[in-house]
Amino acid sequence: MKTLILSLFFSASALAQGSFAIKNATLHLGNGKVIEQGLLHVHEGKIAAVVDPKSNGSYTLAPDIPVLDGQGWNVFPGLILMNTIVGLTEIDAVRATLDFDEVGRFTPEVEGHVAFNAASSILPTLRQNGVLFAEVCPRNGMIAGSSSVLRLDGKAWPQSLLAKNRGMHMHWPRTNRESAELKKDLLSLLEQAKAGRTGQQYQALRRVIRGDEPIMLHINSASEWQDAMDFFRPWPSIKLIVLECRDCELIAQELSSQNQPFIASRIWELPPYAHSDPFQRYASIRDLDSAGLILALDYEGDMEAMGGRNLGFMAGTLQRAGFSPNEILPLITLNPAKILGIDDQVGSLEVGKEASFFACQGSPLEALHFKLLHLWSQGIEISLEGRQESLKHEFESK
Amino acid sequence: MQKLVLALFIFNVGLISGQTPAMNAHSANRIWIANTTVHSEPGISNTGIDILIKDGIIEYVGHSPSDTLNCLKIDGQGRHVYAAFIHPYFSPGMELPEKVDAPGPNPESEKEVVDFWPNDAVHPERWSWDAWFPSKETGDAWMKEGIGYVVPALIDGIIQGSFPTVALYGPNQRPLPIKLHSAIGFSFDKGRSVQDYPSSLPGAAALLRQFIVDANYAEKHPKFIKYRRSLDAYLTLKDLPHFVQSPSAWDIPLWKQLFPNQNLVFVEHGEAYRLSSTDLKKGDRLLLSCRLPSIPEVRDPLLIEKSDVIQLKEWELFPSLPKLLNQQGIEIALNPGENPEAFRKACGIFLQNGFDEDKLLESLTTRPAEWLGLEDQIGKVEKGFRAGLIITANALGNPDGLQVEALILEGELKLTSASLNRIHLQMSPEDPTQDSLAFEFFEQEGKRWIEIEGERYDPERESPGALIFKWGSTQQYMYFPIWQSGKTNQTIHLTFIDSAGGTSVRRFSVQHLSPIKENMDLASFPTEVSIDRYFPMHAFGYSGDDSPTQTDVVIRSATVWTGHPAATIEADVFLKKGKISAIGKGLKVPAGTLEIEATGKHLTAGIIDEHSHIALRQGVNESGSAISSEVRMSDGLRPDDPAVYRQLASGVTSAQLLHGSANPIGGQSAIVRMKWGASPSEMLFPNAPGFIKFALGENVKQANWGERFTVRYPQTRLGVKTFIQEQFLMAQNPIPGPVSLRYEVLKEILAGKRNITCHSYVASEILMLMQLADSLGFKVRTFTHVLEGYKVAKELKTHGAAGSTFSDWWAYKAEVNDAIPYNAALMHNAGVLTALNSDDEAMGTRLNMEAAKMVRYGGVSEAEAWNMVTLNPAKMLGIDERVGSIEIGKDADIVLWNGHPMLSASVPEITWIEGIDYYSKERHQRMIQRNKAEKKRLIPFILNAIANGEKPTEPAYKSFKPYHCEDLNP
Repeated sequence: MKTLILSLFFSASALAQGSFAIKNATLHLGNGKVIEQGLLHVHEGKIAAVVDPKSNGSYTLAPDIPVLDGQGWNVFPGLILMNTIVGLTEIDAVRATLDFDEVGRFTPEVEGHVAFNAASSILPTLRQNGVLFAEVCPRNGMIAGSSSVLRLDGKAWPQSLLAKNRGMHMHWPRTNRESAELKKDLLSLLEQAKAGRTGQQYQALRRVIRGDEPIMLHINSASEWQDAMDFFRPWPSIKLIVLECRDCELIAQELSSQNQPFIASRIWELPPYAHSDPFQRYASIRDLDSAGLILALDYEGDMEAMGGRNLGFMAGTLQRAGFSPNEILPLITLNPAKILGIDDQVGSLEVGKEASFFACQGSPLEALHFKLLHLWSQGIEISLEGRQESLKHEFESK
Repeated sequence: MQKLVLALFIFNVGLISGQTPAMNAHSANRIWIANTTVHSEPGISNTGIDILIKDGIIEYVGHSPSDTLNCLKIDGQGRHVYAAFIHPYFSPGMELPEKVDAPGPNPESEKEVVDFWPNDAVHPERWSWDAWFPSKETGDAWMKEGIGYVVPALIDGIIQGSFPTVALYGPNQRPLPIKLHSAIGFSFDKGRSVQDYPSSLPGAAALLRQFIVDANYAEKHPKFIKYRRSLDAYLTLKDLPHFVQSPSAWDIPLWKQLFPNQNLVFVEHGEAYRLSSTDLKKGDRLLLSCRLPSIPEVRDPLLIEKSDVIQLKEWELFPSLPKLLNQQGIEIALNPGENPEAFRKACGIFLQNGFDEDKLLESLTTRPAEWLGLEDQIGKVEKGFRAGLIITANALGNPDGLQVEALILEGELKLTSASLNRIHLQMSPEDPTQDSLAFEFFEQEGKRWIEIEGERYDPERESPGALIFKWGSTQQYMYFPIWQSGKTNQTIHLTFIDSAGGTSVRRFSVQHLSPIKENMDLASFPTEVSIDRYFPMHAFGYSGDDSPTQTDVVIRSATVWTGHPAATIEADVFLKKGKISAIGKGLKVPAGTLEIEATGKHLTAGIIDEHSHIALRQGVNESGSAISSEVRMSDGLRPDDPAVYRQLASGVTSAQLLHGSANPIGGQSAIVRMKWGASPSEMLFPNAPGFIKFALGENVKQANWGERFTVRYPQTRLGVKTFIQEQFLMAQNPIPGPVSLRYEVLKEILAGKRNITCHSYVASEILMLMQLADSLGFKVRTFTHVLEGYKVAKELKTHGAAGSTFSDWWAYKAEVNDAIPYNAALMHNAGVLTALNSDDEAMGTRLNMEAAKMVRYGGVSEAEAWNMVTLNPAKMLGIDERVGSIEIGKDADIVLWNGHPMLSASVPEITWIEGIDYYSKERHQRMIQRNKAEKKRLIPFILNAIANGEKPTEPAYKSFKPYHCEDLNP
């Protein structure tokens, strides 16, 4: 399968150190821009240059840099799967393999990366469709815990960990008798944290109160968003990011004016109500986008860990609501990086960022024509195969 | 303290205090209603009529009665007389022990008691009469609304036993039923039975079918001794009206199918209007719920935005339902339900909305009387009929509500509180010989008292707010309320006269008063209502002026995915009379044919989903038994499931609706077309082969059901094999007696007349079933899911089994650990007929994208990948003669896409089934605009109703939950 055409003077050690260049490739930067016949220079695992021959003219590479001919390649930054439990679950129906749901309604002290299984056989299946990063988060309880961003390659989590404490995942209760109690308890926790009470719980909450870590606010509907806003009004330093909320397009303007990013959960799910337009989920993203807020997509829901490999294909279906592929790509690359505060490291093909990207035929947004050619993480090429391919090879000749 | 002073003229004080003086029996039993307006039956009214009642029977109705001596005379001038109303489905007063829920799985509860049919939800031998003990308050409350006769109904279980017809319970006595067995009750709800079976609606239907088979057998075979108590009970009742509970509209066509020759009365719960004239026909009998329309909560701009136009329309439509259904020729009786107030209000609302006085009267009297076989006894004011009458201050058509002043039941006079004050009672002839009696009402220490001649009585002791006067030797009585709280200066003048013996002549008259006017505020209903229904009743249901139709159409210059051969061509396609009539370039078509220019667009066969659980209701699994081959998914069809429209909008035209995977031997599939707005029978694919679901692995061994589920056989894959084998052995060696519908289906499999679709995952179980099938001499047609099919592709090919799989699902349970997205490609490459299915409503809306993944993962050609969601599943289902590809002569079940059908941007522009455009993007847009306009029209009315004091009772939108394979709960 190796089809690389390398320059005459390449250095094997340079490749091993994560230094190389790709020329003549179509570069999909992730910020909405596309460069045709572009040059991408990687130096020691970071992007050293992104050259558009139309505007930048010539760019000189050192002679010992291996140059790959990317004619016919489309190069994309690694996709970011937000709000997921991948690595914390292996087989959904087997309790022994589940590590995302700690006991207690308030567990802000737990962190997503510490149980992340870097050897999960699910990870190669995600990488194969270009998903190279995941925001791994605890689930359930009113405060589930703090999320971490992990690279989906690597041997163990300390090496895979890109950033921790990226979002405190909070599930806002449906308005009912119990919810008043919960809110009272939450308020008391926040107040004690603010007053400096010691303990892991309060320490974690102080990150939130200081605005160092945003709250990832999972809410059910637009009316509950209002309820949450009333709650957080006295806490102006807390940053909020809204998730799930299947009818939040109705309050897109309000979200936008509050500068709250929005993460749309699995747009492939059914529309929220029996009478909803079959295409409501796609149309709602259009409405949210028009309001000018920072928007991203996730794959939360049933069988989400294994389903995460469909992130790009799912995003592609937004074309049904009039999005162009160039508009869609940032929703699973640069925007998630911005929301997670890691856009200085990943999320787009831009100078100074990690060289974690892939080359393919077709597009990661389109299953039909997608063919993965190469995959790099921090400038090092990684295998395209996993357990599923081993099984295929084992039995296809049987 | 309130004090009322009254005068009572009476001969015998003892009468009041409860002693019963000797009286002429003749006089005691006669009532004379003089000079009144009588509505003897719907449509027939006369004024100046006298009615004589004797011994509980109407003795005379006419202008000049000859013998009026010894009567209790009621001055009927200015009054109306109607037959007492009938409540044909009366549930208050049934005394049953609390239901005890079994703590867990309960297979042991299904022990056979030889005399009784072996299911605790079946009790044809039960008599509602035996369990009926209504309180007097209940009776009073209904008598005030004019209800005289009721049909007490013990609503519990699938076969509920006999319902009597009874004159409504009165104080101090419990009248005998006038007909002990007047109806027999049914439902699809197993009620208080703690047995596991049936756990679903299709299971309940299957149970009923078996019961009917057994009953017919018992009738022809007197020597058959099993279950005789139950079967004989049903055989004696089977000609009675079957009161069949139909809380869902779709129950109605199912009941018709189960009881094609029985006399059915559909007890609906406010949904019958969802049916089209295919399902609810002229002459059908509908017991119409008096449910009040619930007011959708729309007092919030957000809620208005989210609201479902149908919920708003239903609120508007409800009042016109009786009129609408009546116009369709449906026989209607009203079911007053459990709330007298709601009944009264509903009658007023119906009258205001085109259900006229005669129709209302009919629906409360002659209609139910006829159904109950009592049309010559009750329901009319006619000589020889039972003396069940109401005397009212106004006519029934009065929108202010009927003011019932008196009710005569079985010849007894019963007065009711709301209007006592307006009645005049006189005995005849008048006799001035009177005693006078001081008579005082007062309130003391929060209690009401009546004092007569210095002696204090508690009027509430026997009857709240009423004093009971007894007369005659037969323990008859009359009672009436005597207290109008808060009213002062009431003068009640009582005169009671009996001329028979001279000494016991009493004069008894009541006079007065200001009636309590119960004004109903009807202003909150729209004055110009729209009774336009959508078919189905859904936001994307079709309205009459914009419905899909079969049109001859030529689609020009599309890229046509022919399917057979697997290829694409540029061509015109001509659809004529629902068939694909011609394919080619520059087709000449008859003038007037609709032309669709489709250059750049793609035309494909409609997608066929081999494994789906949409459009089903109340249970996808009959989990009450490990074998449920008698269960038919077609019994649970729900054509108005929004999933149907969503599939159409995604290019899906047909699907196999499978039983779930709870049982090794599941139920029979329904192969349907996505005929949105049609009836269940119209949805079924005509002449499709019969299929049954089998299942293997974790689901059937209850591995993921929870800790308690460890007692049902099988619990291992070992037992799954022996269980299935055992069932076939039982089918081959039937027990003498009635045919077992369960094992008949297995015989069909053995005879090659029914196909198996088997839920399966791992290689071992797939091999096991193929070997077992080979040993028993049949073939497994399709393995569905079959995620390790790639490991046994050669064996599948050899057996001749097809594989219907997921594109890329895995990792959700242990048995899918080796699932790979290359499975379909590997099976296909090995020559196995391969399809992709959804088993999931959301996935069902993007099967075109699933096909695309086979190109991405397995390197399958585009045309072959497309066949995996069209022609290949058609072949598996045995419907490829008619659908699955674009070939001349096939049905026009096709889709016009705006682009390449496997690209993520592509959506259907038109989806045809048999040449009918069930979905079109343009109509979809029109429906969105229509709904906006309807909301705009309706919301002001609803806000106005809320402003007028109506309380919003429900949100203006509904969420829903689709079914999956594993779902156990109905």
